[in-house]
Amino acid sequence: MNRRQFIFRSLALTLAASTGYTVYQYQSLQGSDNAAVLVLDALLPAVLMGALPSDAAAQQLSLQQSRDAVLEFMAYLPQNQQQQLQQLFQLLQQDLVRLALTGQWLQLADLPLSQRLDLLLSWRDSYFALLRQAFSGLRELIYGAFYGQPEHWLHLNYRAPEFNP
Amino acid sequence: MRNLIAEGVAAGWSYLDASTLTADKQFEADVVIVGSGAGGAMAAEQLSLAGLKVILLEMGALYEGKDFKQQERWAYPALYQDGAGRKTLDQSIGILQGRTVGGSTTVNWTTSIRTPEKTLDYWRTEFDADFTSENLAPYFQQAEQRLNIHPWPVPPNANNNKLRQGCEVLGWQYTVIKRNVNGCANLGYCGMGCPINAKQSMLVSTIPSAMQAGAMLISRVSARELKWQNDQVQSLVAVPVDQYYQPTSKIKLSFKARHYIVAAGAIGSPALLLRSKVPDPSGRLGKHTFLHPSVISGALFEETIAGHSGAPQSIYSDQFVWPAAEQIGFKLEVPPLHPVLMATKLTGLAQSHAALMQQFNQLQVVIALLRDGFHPDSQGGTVLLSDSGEPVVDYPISDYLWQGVQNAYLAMAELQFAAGAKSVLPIHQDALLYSSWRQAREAIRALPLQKYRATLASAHVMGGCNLSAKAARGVVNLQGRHHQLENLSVFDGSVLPSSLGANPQLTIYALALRNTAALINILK
Repeated sequence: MNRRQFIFRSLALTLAASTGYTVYQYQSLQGSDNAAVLVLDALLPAVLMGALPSDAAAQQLSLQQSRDAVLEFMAYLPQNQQQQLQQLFQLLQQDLVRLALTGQWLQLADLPLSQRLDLLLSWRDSYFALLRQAFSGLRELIYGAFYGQPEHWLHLNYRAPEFNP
Repeated sequence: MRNLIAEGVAAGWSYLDASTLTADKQFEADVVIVGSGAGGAMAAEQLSLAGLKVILLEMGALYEGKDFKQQERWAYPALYQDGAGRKTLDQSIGILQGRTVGGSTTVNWTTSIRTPEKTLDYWRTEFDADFTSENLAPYFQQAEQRLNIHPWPVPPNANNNKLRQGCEVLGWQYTVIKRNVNGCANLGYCGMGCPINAKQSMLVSTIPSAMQAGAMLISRVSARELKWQNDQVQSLVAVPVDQYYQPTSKIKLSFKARHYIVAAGAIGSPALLLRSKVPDPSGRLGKHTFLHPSVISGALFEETIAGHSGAPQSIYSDQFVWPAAEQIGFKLEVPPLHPVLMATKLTGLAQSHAALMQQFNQLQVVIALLRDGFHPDSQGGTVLLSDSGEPVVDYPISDYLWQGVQNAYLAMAELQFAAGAKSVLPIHQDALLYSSWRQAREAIRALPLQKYRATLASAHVMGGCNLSAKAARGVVNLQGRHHQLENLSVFDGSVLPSSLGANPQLTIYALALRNTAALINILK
């Protein structure tokens, strides 16, 4: 059982013995870094549907590399923006956890991609400016990270030249 | 290919990477310049050639010639502010701004346009600026000669050619762009740093020349505060930045000079002056920041466009820059099309986004740069400081601007269909691919004009330390001298009292040359 599975099992067990809102008290189970990883791991396969390699192993590698590229890129943003992003990831994580628990999925990985996309679209169309921002910001981070990698240019018929190899 | 600065440093030029320092250090010079872009480096060369001792500071790192990699995942974090992820406060407008030795001139798309006559007229009326095309002409000529600015003689790439074709069909005005290049191989990678030293950015022109004449270049240093008393700046305090270009706090660099030139760009310059709490009786410091907010329209063509290849900008249209009615004007240009730039701006999600990306080489893109700042309902944005003193621009989008966004979508779609597009996609969350001008026109008129729905971007930040003959209306005078602090000048895009309605580099070069000449007379 990896850490993510552990977190979700703990949360689900806790939920079984309490009301739905108890979930929020257990956010401390996850560090802030983890919120970013968890949210990205949940969203990347949905956002990148249609663009990921079809081979399962290649797909897994592509997802990991894209997630790491997002995390690496964030270090170049101003400190206050990084803090806002971390807070945002925590907020989004709550949304994802709530969705998973509502559907009684024990692992976020079981949450159907269509539901993850619906969640993203609900952020895009949310009444709250923060969630609308989250949608456009995350989308940009994810697509930037994915299409920054040369191995994802195959379908684009594009290859970056090397003038100074 | 030669790395001019590295070779010069090997031969004895004075250069320091501040991030290598292990102890505090003091420096003295005749003139300290903060920022090595269009304003700062232009001044550095003239001052150094006049025999003055110059120190040129740059927050970014030194990359040149052979260092440049033609990959966005390298170039954006290495060469751009916030890894090219800079945004306005509410994240509604993306901002592309250079942060490297040479500033934005290292990464710009080489478009060189003299300040439009009507912009100068506006400055004369509103800010008592006695600039005319005639009295600025010598400085434009000087910059054009220095940087080999000339009309691009090579046929435009397909992306630009569609802009031209659309204009021809519709009878709209268009112009072949003048570019600051010498020996350009029409590669298309200007935005990631020219790998063959063809672009006449500051990196291959004024900076090596200033260093040859004795100027010292310090990279990876963030200017934090001007210490001042009465009407004099007494010193400048700076700190090294870390590997992610975040200011550090362990080591301090301090600079004493006879004169201080701030040229850190239209976000960085007001931020430094705000951190330093310099006098601001006009109340205009950090205010009236203009962005040329840009609206984007994609189009799919049957034929290959391959907008990543060839000079990124070679045609523009001024058909709509100065509309007769009470409407905001906009300039039509095209951007280079590289995978990250496109993927992050294109709309759609999951399969719909992937499907668009698969037509990457059939995609043509037009941008409309809104000419902000000439109207009571377009007073620009405000530079604010975070708790740690880092700047962010708060830029509200008025209904007047939104109307311009809609007009721009309409004009771009009409143009793209006239040029033969199969379908047109306004870059707006609620837009679809439209297959006829009639269909697009109806749909665009119904698009909600709201932030986050319309994708907006800026590559030109202007204002925040505006020039004005009168102290009550500006931060600096017409020579770029601070109205209150006697030995402080601002020589970059932040002095512009409105946007330009044209790409800003040539205006900044000319004003920097003009004002440096005046400054040399005083300092010599």
